[in-house]
Amino acid sequence: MEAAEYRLQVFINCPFDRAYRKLFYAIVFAVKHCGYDARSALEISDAGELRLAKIFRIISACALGIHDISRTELDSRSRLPRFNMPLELGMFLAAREFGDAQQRAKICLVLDRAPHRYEKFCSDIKGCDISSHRRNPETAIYVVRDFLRGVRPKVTLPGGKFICRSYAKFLKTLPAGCQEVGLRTNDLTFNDYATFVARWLKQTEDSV
Amino acid sequence: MASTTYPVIRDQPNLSRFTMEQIEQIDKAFRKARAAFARKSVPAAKVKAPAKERRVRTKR
Repeated sequence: MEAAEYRLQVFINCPFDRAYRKLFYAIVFAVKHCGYDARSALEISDAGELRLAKIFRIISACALGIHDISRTELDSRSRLPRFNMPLELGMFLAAREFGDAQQRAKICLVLDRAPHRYEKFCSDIKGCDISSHRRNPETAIYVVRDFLRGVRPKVTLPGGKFICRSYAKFLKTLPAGCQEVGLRTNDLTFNDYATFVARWLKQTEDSV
Repeated sequence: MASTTYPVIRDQPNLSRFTMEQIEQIDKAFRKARAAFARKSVPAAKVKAPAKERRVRTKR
């Protein structure tokens, strides 16, 4: 993969359930607003490809990673916790540790819902840069924006408040866009949502 | 020193499952909704209240 392309790819590792959707949507919006590509394990629905292989492939294509390890509750049915997010964080960190020069340049942001909470369930990552979103989409936007600002200091990014305002406007117009192609806002796939965000932001860019 | 380079929004056409026609429809719907939103969010002109006359305290 070309270096210029690679450094703009952001792997988003987070819960995919309905309860997390507001945060996920806000993070994807912030990533794209800052000029990066949002990548997720949700983007491919090829049943023929092993899920783990798919995740490895996407991780290897991304210089950046945003990993949310805040979902520690037990599943209401199985009464067991979900380990996918810490596992994928581990895969990302391993790629950085053992990969080639390009892979070693990986940078990641780890998110939890409160500062220092992770120390009680994943203390080995102590020392990594961990931020908290406090389950608030606006806070998540600020945190993601500041992380991406730090990654490429020479590129001027819009401020957190500006992105939050854009996101509020986008959410108000999203139902109209969905309706036009016969979709419901709650039924969007990751690919659909990413396309809506990109088209909306393109219009903003064109009107400036 | 930070440059003034602003990020360019990346479209990720590889992700899109929409046809070009649908993309155009989405663009059109967004444009329309944004225009309506912009019209609604323009604050109504407020009539400026006349300034109160300042009371000047004088020494008795």
